[in-house]
Amino acid sequence: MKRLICIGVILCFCLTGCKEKEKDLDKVNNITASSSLEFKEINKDTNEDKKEEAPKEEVTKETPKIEETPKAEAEENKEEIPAVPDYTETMPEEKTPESETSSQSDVDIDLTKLSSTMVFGEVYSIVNFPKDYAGQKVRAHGQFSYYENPETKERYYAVVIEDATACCAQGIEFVLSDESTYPQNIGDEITVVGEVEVYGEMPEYGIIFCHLANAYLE
Amino acid sequence: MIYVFEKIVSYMEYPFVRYAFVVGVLIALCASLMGVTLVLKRFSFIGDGLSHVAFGAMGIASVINLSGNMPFVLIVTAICAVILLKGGQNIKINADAAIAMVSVGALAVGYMVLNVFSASANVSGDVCTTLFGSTSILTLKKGDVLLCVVLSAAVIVLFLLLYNRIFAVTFDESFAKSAGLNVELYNLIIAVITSVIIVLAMKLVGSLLITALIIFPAVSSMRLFNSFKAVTVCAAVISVCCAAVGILISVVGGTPVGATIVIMNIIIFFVFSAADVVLRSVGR
Repeated sequence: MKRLICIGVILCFCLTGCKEKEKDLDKVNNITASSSLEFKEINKDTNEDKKEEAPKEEVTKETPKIEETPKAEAEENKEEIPAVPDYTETMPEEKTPESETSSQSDVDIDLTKLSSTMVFGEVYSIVNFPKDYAGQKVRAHGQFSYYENPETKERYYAVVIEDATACCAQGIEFVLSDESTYPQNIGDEITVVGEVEVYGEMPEYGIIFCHLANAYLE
Repeated sequence: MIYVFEKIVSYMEYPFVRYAFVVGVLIALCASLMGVTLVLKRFSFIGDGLSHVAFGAMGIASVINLSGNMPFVLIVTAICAVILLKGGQNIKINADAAIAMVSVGALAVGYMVLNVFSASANVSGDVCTTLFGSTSILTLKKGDVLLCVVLSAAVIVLFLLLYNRIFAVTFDESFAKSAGLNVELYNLIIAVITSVIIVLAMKLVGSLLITALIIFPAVSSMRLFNSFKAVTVCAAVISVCCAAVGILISVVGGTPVGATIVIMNIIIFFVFSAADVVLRSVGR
């Protein structure tokens, strides 16, 4: 019994050593479902799509341990919009893996809002089970790359997402609706939005080819 | 804190996260159960050796394009486990030397085979994932999850059914033999169960970190508890908690899964060590 009490005390000390600011949590706690729905409608009317991501970044900045990802840090300039609409995006009952709505409300899967571990898993799922994601709009941020077929001279463009050690990389091919706007240099950081489309398969190898069709760069 | 909780809840809606959570917890539980026996039998590093054998077998299986490489890896690892655990009785090659030889040999063969013969687009990524298990737990299919659940259930049921015999064989083989127990058979069972756990655990923490899953919970429990039952139960609780928390932290924070779980185990080890020191000083 003594041992259990001692362990509990030490664990409590370790776990409660760092505490988040109460008032920031109260802000989040005061948000209700109805007000979040109203904000969703307001956001649909606005054209400033990028600013809508600021509240989530504000909220995430209040929890610095979570948001220490390159993608989150890249969106630090979006700070004007209050926390309410982005809290809506995190409410579990309004989100499913296949219909996760972004602040722009036209993207089904926003990889820029997930942690790097989640991005790897989701991209793996998209690339290996593309039929489950066919027709869904995906936003991905990563490094631009392309491969040129030496026989047909056809180029296949992709956005590659790497982890910190750059060994566990996943990429998705994309086809821009306007061919002239492909980036020039491999390794350029890009954000691409497109619809998952299956365009071929090799059943003998168990491979299904997919890409992001009708894509555009942000 | 609430934001983190909301994020966790939203991430749990992804199927691959749920699969990783279920499989991770089951694997951690199985590893902790066998970990107590292996630590007491002074076979702590057998996890390392067998995981390298599994890596080598996996490399060979992928090169020869075996569609389901887990059965092949399981069989090869089980054979090596039996050889290593029975080889402890061979006075010409010590048990630790045998483990070291098999471990580095299999690692070298596996890496060579993957480099020379592999047709994978990202060999270094495959090797890194297999060795460190950074994200492989997030690439499970439904079939993989079902297989892991079935194997884990079999390991747990076997352990519970054979608990008393495993206890006897762990502490005093000579006495167990004189009492009429078939010690060879139970050592074989322990070897096979260990190999199954190693192959499953490679998906969670990778080859190089498997030993941590096996050793840390047992050693942490032994800091505070003295009986075999108490150590086993405590090790299971520690292992499951560390795996669950480690996976959640990894998913939310974007850290490698395997390393995060091992670091959680290290933290708990230090907490239990501190508790042991405090209790000893209070006891005086």
